[in-house]
Amino acid sequence: MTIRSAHPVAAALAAILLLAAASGAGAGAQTPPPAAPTAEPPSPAAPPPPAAPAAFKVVLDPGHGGTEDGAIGPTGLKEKDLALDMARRLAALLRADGFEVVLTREGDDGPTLDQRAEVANVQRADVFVSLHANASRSSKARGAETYFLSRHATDDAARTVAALENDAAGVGDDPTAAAAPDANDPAIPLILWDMAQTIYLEQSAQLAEIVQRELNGALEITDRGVRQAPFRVLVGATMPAVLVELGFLTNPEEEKRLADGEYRRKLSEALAAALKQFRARVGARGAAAGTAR
Amino acid sequence: MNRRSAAAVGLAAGVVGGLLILAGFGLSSCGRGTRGREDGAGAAPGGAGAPAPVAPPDTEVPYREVTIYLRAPGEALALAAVPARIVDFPSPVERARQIARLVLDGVPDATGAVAPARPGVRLREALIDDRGIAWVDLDGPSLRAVGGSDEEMALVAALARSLNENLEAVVRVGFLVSGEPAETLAGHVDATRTYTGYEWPGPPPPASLLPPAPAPQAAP
Repeated sequence: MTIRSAHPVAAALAAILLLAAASGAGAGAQTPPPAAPTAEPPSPAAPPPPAAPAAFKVVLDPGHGGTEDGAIGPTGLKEKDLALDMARRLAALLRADGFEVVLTREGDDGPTLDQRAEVANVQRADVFVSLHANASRSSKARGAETYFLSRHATDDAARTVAALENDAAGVGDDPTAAAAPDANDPAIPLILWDMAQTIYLEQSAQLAEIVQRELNGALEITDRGVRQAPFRVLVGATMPAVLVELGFLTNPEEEKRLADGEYRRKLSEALAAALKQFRARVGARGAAAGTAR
Repeated sequence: MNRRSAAAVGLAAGVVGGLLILAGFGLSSCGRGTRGREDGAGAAPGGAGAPAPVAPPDTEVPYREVTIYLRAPGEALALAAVPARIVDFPSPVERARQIARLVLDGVPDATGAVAPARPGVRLREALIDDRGIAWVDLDGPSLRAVGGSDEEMALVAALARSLNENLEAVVRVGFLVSGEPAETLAGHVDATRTYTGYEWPGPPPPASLLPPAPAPQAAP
């Protein structure tokens, strides 16, 4: 099968959408849709009951795990343990509020970063949130920050697709004359994976801003703001995706706070509040017409 | 001390002196500024009482001034340009190795800039391919010391920017871990792509990315 388009990037994006739809179909086989309501038919006088909202599915990714400890604080607090505990806390809060939640790891194991994004894609999640704690050469560095994927990463992938198309067509810089390479080319799935997050960048940016705002509001922490970076775990996610750095384990004061159960409770409540806001804004995948999906 | 022992001491001093000079010659001959010594003028060991051999002055080694990028002091992730010098090998690959080691080890800097990652990260190799991509191969076990996205981003950016800026042959910089392609160096930054070193810290995003909230619907 070949994909032909006058514009190479458009062709790639179309392919991503097809892949996303296909992965969603696969996930649908594993996760049956919500059962139809079985209540008695309403009487003609009564207003129709509101349709059951589709569950908003969140995939939480506790960073690192297994042999990969991540950052380690001065007293020995490990990022992988903090991230897993925070994911569990957040999952409990979200489930209590009607979210469907899946964790990329339930214990001390270490899936690859692409496997983590794949979990979110197969689950057809509405949101992907990767939880981390930071480290710096400066022991004074502190505060939380929220990342979404940088444009550089997706631009690089788009350029690669364009170059491949031109190479395949044996043409130079004229994209209108380019025929797409064969979709069986083993390089294509890898490049499309790299571009998967492209069409969700705007929503990812909005989610990042909401998360950061909630963290700032709920906690007395330094606002390090919303940032962009080429983080591998975000690259392949076909949904709004952010990476949250909860604080700096290398700052002794902040490590102490991150080790405290009460502080973790506040952190998880702030994150839950942010995800509720985002759900209200965009709705579950496919449930709200007129969203960017 | 009789004449025989004095002769023995003189011989030993001569041998040691000769070895020192040869060692100095061998070291400095890695560069290009040692041809003046190839006439053997420095190779004649003196006997007992001869002046101690003098190492060639620094000016004879062809150093090259470079600018390397280290982590700037302070809370925010930023790189600081720090002057340094390397031996001016003709091969850009040799220069790339020296630059990468300087970044990993850090150099004394009055402003307080430090190596981007904690000490211990080890360079296995640095190569430049015919596309102008400098490949920095880092030792996997030594990367376990790197934790946190801040430290990893600083490491990638400092190496990429330092190599890109000082070597004309380098267009972009890629990374290997123990000789193999890897997802990341330490769990965050995508190492399946190459970098110029100027990708971040980038400009801050706009003040607000959120569209205006929808107006609340009036109650019926």
